[in-house]
Amino acid sequence: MIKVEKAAFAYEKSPFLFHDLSFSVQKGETLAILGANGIGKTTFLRCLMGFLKLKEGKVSIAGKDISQMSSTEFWKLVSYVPQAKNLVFGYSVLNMVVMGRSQYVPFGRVPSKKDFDYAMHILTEMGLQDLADRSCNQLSGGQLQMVLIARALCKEPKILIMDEPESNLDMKNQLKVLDIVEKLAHKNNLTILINTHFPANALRCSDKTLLLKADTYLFGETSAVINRENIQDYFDIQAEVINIQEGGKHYQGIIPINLLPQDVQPA
Amino acid sequence: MKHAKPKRVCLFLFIALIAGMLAALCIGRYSMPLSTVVQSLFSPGQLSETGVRVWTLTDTVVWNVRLPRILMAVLIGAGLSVSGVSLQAMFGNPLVSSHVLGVSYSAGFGAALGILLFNNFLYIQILATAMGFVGMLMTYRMSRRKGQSSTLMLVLSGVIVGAVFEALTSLIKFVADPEQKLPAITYWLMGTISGTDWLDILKAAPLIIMAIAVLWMLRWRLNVVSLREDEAIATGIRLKQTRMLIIIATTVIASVTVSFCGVIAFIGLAVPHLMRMLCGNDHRVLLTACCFGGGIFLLLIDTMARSITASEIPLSILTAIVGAPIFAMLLHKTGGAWDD
Repeated sequence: MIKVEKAAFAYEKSPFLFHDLSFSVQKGETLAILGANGIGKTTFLRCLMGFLKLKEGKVSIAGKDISQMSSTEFWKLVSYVPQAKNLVFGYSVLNMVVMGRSQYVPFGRVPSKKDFDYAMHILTEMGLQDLADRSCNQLSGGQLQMVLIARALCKEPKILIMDEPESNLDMKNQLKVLDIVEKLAHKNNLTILINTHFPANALRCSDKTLLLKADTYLFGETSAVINRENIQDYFDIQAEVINIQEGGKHYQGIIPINLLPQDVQPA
Repeated sequence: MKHAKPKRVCLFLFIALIAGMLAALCIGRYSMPLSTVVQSLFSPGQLSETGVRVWTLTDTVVWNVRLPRILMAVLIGAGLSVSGVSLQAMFGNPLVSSHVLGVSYSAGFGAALGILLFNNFLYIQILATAMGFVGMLMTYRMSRRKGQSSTLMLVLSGVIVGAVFEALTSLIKFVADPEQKLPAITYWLMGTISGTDWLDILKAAPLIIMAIAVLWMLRWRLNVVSLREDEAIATGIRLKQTRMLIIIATTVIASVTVSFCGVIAFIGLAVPHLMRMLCGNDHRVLLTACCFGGGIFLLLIDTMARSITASEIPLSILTAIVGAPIFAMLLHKTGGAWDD
């Protein structure tokens, strides 16, 4: 579905953030993008979405080079879920979700009843119907993140790009977001790219993982990529992977143990 | 804060606007009962003995003095409010209006330059419009960093652009002939719509109505445009094209206003706020509400301007003196309703 070939990017007068980056993600798969702060995860997503221009290489969706696509064509396939932040103007949840359908609203018109019905349908599917008339700025962070996911789905996309959707949320809300990601990929057959700080969350919801580090990267099956050695290598910490069996299912977690010796501040 | 049914608010505002216009026709130094006004509106003149309809003094006052002026007040009030609310959406910022962004000042400079050099109305209007665009683009370019315009950068850029053009306007006043041009420029810039005739309406109305219509067509997009830039692009709308239309329409409104009636401050900021408090932030309804609300507000101000004292009071003085306390009170009471 998404194929990245030899991609490279650098900000002006700076060294490459990443280069020679190649990987592909199939339909219905979830890719987690992991890496330390400032390593270029968000920049990479912004390149994928055309907000920044790659210096080298190309990205194609379903075999078509995205630099050849019109923005209308591209945004019909792709939806973007930003991190939940308060808005300047508090729109109602329903109005917010229906904005996902803006593309289908002709110039000079407002969304039709059908658009609103569809938005309501998505909200109901996500169990958010009771929030429909609430103002977005009165929601909790977790609720707002769910609303933003609903807005992204309202477009009926094939690909979902999520920028750290769970990083500001408490554990329960994190779990809710991860469950939705899992369901969307495996039931609705969406291709999902998710940026995250937490290797444990990648273990829970993703099929493939892209680990980023200055000058190099690692790509592969999540279960193969996330292990003790790689965490140490890519995050500069000593960590341990733990395994738990619960109700016949296998869960994995990561426990950070210690900073590496060279990073420890002398007391 | 719970908002009233937005559509009902619009209907109420519309009725209030019509009632206000009728009342304004009655009020003035030569005051008339409503029945006389209505009769004059629908069948002006009286049959003379020879069977010819002759206009009375009442008809002249209603048709040639008050009606054009009232229409102008409503048009400009509506235009400035609608442009204020659209700019607020475009910049995702409840603090801006064409005045805050310095556009009124740059257009005012254009008008002053026009008065100084030509004293021909067409040139004055062209110069005001051209300088209006220059001011808007300067503020826009100056405030944008990394694709975002922060509140601080916007307001500061507006202050800078406003200051430059205010200084240039002062320069023009300084070199202007103090007998004729200087008073003309000063009075013009303080804002007045006295002496509006049907020809003025004919010149101003099409432009303002067209600009309002364009913004009204964009009313849904205004919701989307007010999101952060990435999110707005990601919805798939044509953001650049939409922004361009908003800039053109709002600058046309500001410039036409300045070239007919000088700089009228405050409306573009205050009316959108009042309307957000009344009917919420959804621009689909908000735009209509601002249209009617702005009309009512400037009509009220202008009626006061021409009837409080024997001589005219400039509009920008009254908009601030009357508007500011109402605005301050509401703001204090609600804490600013734009974010809930």
